[in-house]
Amino acid sequence: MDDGEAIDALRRGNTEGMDTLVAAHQSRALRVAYQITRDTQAAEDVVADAFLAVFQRIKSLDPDRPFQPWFLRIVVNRAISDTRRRSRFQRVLGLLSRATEPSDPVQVAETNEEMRRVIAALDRLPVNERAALSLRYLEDFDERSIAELLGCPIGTVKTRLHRGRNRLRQELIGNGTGADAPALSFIGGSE
Amino acid sequence: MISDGQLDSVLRSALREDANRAVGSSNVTGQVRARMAHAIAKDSWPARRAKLLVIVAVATLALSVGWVALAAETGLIRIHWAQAPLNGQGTPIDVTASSPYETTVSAAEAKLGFHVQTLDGYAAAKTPVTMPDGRTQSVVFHPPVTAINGKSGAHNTGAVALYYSVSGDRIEIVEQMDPNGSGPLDVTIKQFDQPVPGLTKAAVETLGGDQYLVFRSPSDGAIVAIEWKTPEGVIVRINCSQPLNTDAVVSLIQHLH
Repeated sequence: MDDGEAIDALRRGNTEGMDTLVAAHQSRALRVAYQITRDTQAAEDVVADAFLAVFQRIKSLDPDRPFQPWFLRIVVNRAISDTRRRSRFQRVLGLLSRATEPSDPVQVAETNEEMRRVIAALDRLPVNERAALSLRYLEDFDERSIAELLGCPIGTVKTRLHRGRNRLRQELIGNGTGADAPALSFIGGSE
Repeated sequence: MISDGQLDSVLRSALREDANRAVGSSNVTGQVRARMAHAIAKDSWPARRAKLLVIVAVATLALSVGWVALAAETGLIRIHWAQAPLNGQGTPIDVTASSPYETTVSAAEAKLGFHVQTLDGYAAAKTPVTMPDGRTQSVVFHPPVTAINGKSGAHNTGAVALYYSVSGDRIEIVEQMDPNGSGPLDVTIKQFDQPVPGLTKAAVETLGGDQYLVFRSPSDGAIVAIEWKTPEGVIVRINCSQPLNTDAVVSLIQHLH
């Protein structure tokens, strides 16, 4: 069953259509939602709620338009709203929790430490910039597609990507001095 | 200086590795099914929900009392099946009430005039709970409905909703004095003119010797919600974010006090 058949089935009240859509689209949606919310549980809630929104609005979906961009737009908007509602304190707690619970103790080496610094720097970006960067670098969307997903002009996307990358660069360079030097070695930069 | 290419490469690998680690093994199929079943069930009895203000309540059991004794605490339940077209427009319901707000159990008891059952002391139940929209909730008071479809009157005295996380699942417990007095719990549920895939099945079930109104998932029979009325006239309902097996729900009821 492809997307079109699944949507037709769902419109007829056959909920197996939703199982098909979930199987096909949840992985990408979860990755995007996670990189915006920075919280696994929140990402799962956002994606599950987005699928519920699909179920409730399925009759308003234009059959001539592809499902994925429509669905991802719901996911992104909900993830941004979710993130804005949660306090910065909660997000910092989540980050600390991840930082102190490495999934593979054997693998806890310099690379993980450096990766964590990059992710920590991402976490400090404004949510709109993080969303744009995630869609660009995690899912390889072009700027026009990102603009459609975020519901903003392409110029705004370019600005957010530019600012986000610059902020990230500054954060990493800033961390590259003194005790936080490993960040620089990871990104291979040289002054 | 970091080149654009270096930064892009770092970003790409860091984002992918981090996302795969965090949600690579996640699967929301069960959550989506549960939400759909719940949404369909909610749509099937909007009028009743409006009147009862989304009742999810808790039973009246002392911690030391066992399941059999608990079962004896519930009152008679009567279901009235209302025939309804699946594709009809339905009757719009305009409910007038002040907005719900966060409160405390003692403040809610003062407003409602009855003892609010909680899961206090049950180590597995954590509160407050972070909701899907990011809000943190513990105790929410729903002020009385003052009018339905423009007709003013005392439709209820308000309700309280308690939120817990039990083994990672969100549990909502709603308690409200039955506006119909001390008689049986009368429940009206729509019966559609054609099958509705995924619709939660409602039935009065005898558990431990007494009656409960149980809403079960059509796929696996797990409990989505359970409702009853205490001898004091309080309607109690437990809503589960994920369908739970009967033993888990019984355990919740046993810990209510």
